[in-house]
Amino acid sequence: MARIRRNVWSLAQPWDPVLLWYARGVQVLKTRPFADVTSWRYLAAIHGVEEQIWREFGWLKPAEHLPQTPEFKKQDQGQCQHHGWYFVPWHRGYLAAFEAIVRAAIEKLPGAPKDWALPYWDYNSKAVANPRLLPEAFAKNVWPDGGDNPLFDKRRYGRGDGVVVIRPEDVDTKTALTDGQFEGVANGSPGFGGVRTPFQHDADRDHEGWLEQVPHDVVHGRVGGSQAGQDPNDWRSAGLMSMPETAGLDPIFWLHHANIDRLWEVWRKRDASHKNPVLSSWLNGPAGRHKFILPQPNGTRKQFAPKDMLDTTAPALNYVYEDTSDPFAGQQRLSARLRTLSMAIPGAQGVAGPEVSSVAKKPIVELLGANAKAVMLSNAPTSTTIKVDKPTARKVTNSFKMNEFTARSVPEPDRVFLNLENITSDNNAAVFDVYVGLPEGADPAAHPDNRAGVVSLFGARAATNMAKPHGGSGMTKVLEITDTIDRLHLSGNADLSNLSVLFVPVSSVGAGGVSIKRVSIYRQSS
Amino acid sequence: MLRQWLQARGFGPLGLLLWGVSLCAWLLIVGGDRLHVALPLLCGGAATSVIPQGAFALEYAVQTVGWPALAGGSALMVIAMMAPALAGPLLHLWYRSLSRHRWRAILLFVAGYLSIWTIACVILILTAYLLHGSTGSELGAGLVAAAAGLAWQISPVRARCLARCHLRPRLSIFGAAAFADPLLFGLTLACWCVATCWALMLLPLCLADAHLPIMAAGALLVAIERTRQPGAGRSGLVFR
Repeated sequence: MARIRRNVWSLAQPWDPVLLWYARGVQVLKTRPFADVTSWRYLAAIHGVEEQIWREFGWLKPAEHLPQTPEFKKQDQGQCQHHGWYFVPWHRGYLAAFEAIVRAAIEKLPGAPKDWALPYWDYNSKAVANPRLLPEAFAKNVWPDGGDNPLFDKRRYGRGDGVVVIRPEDVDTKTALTDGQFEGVANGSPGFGGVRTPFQHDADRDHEGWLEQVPHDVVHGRVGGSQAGQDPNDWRSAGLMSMPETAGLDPIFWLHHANIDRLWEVWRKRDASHKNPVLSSWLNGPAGRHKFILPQPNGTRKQFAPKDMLDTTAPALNYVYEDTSDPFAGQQRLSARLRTLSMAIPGAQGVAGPEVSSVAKKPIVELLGANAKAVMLSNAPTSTTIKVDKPTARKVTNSFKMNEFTARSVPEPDRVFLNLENITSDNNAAVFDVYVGLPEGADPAAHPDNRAGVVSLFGARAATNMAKPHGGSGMTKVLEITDTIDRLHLSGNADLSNLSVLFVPVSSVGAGGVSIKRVSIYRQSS
Repeated sequence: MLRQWLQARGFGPLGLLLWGVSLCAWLLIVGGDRLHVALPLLCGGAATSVIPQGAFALEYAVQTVGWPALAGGSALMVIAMMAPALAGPLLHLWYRSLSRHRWRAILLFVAGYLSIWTIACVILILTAYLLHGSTGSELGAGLVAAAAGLAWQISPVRARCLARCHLRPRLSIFGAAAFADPLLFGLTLACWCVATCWALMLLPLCLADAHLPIMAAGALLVAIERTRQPGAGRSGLVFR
């Protein structure tokens, strides 16, 4: 029978046996030498590792070095997949390997349960008043067994002073769960699961899926944060969860990723049209010499591919989630959009329906406009203006024409995406909100409808490093602004010649700490 | 099936097109462009005392081959060896330009890219002459070029130059900057390419009789290096 991964908030607080045994398992793993593939540090290094950071943070003693085995150096370290369509399947395999190793460690302890499974941190849970709080078992350095709590880490800075504050919008899963496409397209919708990529560890290329962007990236930044009073652009001030190179060292990382993994199940189950990719390049990927290989409890290493990660009840995985119910009651992005448009446009009622949502053509993505120069963000709100290309803007306007829109088998009107291109920063913990189309001088808090989304720069430092294989190109973030464009059309103010974009820091950005080389918008026609 | 297999290995339609362009350039070279036909003659001549130093070598090259053939041959050599490596930059230009300006941006980029490489080729040809002149033989020049090239190939500075080849700069879409940015992209990328690959170009110029197989090996190395996906185990930090 499949083991059940439980919501941390449905467990007794603070020390339900599931959490207590997790802590004991973590404690065992932390005592193992780094070179042991089932040790805490080895498993964390698979997600990312940099010797100088680990040494500075105390995870490498002065006489210690990273493992020197060929397996570690050439395959295992820094294997995690980001910014692409392997993000969810690789992390599922990673979690399963970790869970099996922790369980094996627990089962050797007296009185251990036989059905222990990794819990998940549902930050949108209805079980408690504020599910976005860090569970107490992780937040305090005390635990029933005495001594240091294995689930606590002082490098969890949150808002700067060690208190984790996560806003509801930081963990809003609506965009991810209501997009019916797993695979995305460059510069347009990145889809639930990201764009097609090869093996890809760093975040300096291509586009992460909606799920990876929010809540995944934002929770990393909001939990890890950076130390108050220190330069947020200096990695020494960063929390463990803020950097891919250290995130796996924080015990909360695994509960966060269990929830991300659960959300993949929620997405897949909430609508019959939500399908994983069927391409061989995904199912059997990645091509090339770099494969997905992870440690097993007996110390061996096992290769896997996304096709092995499709069914969580398969013997190799053997788990289910306590709750995979649909938080949005079947709502789909496309039908919701068309319903809004049809209600607002006289004569277009009844357009929204499954006939339109079944359109499955390869979309055309086209640049629509861009700002004039690079933007440097600071701790104060920063704005820029996108100048729109008129001939291309006419295509967007034409996609809304009533005679096209009211036909029952027509494509959806153009979607529009804001691209923040080549973002460079040394501040992995930077988080900022983005507003589009705000009147000059307007208070962004008074215009929540103009909020395009939240951006976290998890992974930005590596993407900015000029010595990395991609020369410090930085990362690109995509936010959908279709709703804003729709409102402009519905208000009769479809002049898109100039579109204002406002960046409002949520966490400390640091002076001149974030550069966005180009802010652009793209249209995507189906 | 074949399409999926190719795409999974990074051979999209553009990649295949660029390999085709490269192949055409190879066929023209093998068919006998004047630069490469004349290479043995030039390099053989360079070993004599008739061509002692740089300016004379250039004059000799121009007189023997002619400017158009010199520039054309150099461009062919660059296209043959570098075209498959340009998929990433061309896609960057394609997706980040207004649709009606895409081809213009690509032409400006290619003009900038080839102009730098053509100048670099002339310098490399002169260097090959000088190596012939100073060592007195094709083999001697080849050995010196191979030794210098090998030292460069394994140096960390070259690794940094190679990383810069993957930079994707901002592209403006309005005003003069819309013309300047793609051109500048071509110029700067070519500079990083020259810095990365000069040794692979110099070696076939020195070993004129065996230049085709050496060029082919160099082209293969360039294609592998530029299109190879950074894998796991490369997360070691290099602090700036």
